[in-house]
Amino acid sequence: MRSDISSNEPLSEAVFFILLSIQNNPKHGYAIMKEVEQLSDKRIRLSTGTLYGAIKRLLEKHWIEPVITEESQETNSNRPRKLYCPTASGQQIIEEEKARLRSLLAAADRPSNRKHCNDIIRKDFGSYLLFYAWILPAFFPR
Amino acid sequence: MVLIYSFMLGFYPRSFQDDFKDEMVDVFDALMQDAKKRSMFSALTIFIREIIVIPFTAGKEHLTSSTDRQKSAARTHLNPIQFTNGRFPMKAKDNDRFMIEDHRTTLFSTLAPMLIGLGISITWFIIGAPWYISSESMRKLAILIGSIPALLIAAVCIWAFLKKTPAWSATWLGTAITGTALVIQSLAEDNTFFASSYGYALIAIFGIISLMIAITIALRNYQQAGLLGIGLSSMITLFQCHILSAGPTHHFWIGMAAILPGLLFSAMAYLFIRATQMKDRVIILLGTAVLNITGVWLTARIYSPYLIQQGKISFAFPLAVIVCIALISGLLVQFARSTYLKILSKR
Repeated sequence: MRSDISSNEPLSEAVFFILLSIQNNPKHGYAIMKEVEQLSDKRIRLSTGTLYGAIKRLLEKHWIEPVITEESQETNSNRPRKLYCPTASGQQIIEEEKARLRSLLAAADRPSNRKHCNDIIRKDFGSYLLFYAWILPAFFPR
Repeated sequence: MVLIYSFMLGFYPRSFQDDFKDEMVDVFDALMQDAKKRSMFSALTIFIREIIVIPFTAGKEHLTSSTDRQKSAARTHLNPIQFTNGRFPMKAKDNDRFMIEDHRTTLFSTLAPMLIGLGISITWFIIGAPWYISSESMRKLAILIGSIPALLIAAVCIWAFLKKTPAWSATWLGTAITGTALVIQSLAEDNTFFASSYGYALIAIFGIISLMIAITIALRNYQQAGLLGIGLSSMITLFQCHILSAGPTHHFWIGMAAILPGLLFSAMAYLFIRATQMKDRVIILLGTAVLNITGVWLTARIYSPYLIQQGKISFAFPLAVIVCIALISGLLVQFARSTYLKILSKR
């Protein structure tokens, strides 16, 4: 996890999804878990321990903050439910991470890279053809 | 399920519990209710997943919370851990609440090995002869009265568990963990239940809980880690007194004398708490190791004719290794933690 905003260290996938899940509207722990599961196509299933460990660190870094709204009072227990939303620096982190991921994708999709990859495949395919053309006759009786 | 989960959250650091325990319980409750709507199996899967993760996440929180405190103290020019001559810390201020300091607590925390020795001694004093000579009613009475100290230890351990394993409970819990393991092992020899899947599940649950308790205690500080080791190892040695008193050796007088090694182990634990220097503690642990190894060696010697008769090799070496590992296991965990913190603080 990034220790400050200026650092370019990538976020862990779980942290990125947690931040992403609360980007547009504040959510409580259970809703975050469900949203992360949905955002990651059920690939990431956070346990409560992992979620609150991450929330604790995000709170310490002031990337998220707890908020009390009318929705937060709707809970089965007598306790008010805490919602979390990103702070200004948290929002900045999300945007930075998105930009980083976009640049990674762009680099991977660059035509020169594609051409290079295609060249390698073509070259390899040619080598395989040559190899089999040379080795196959050996298996047939003359 | 929620109650068990809530109880398990007690393994997190106090500050973490204060901040998130209630929320975590609410989230877990919601998860369970949601899963129960699908199926009971789904709820069980989520429950197991949540429980299994706790030792890892709680351990991580313990490590990070102490590292954070260390860093914040360094920022305010306070060194929380006193490194003397480049050695590992003997007393970390971040774990001060787990240091036994007053005399009464020191005495109470060392009672467990003595009680075990007392229980074995009482049992064999009442029997007063090789067990096959004594009457069945006498044997039953002996086991009944001899079990009282063991029951007392069990009660104290449950109390300690409810109080979230305070500093005085390290030796008690260490003794109880090995004691329960030995009882399970003895029962498993004659009982088919332990060969069934329920038996394996019970053993696995006991193993996981014991491991979690032991690691939680060992991570606190060197004093707690050492006391845990003394508790774990002393029980193995004391149990041998009971084994030698029963068949095939029938040396009931060894059982009668079990109070003496029990007292010695308690004394070792007492001296370990009172010692302030690392070298003193190392000497005390070496003394405890010598006591344990002597016990193993004596048992092996007494047993050797029977082993030779059956064409088996001596168990002295493997048992001595097990006892020594039990003695230093807590310290190894604490050493790993200290090394990890030291590496982190250098970064």
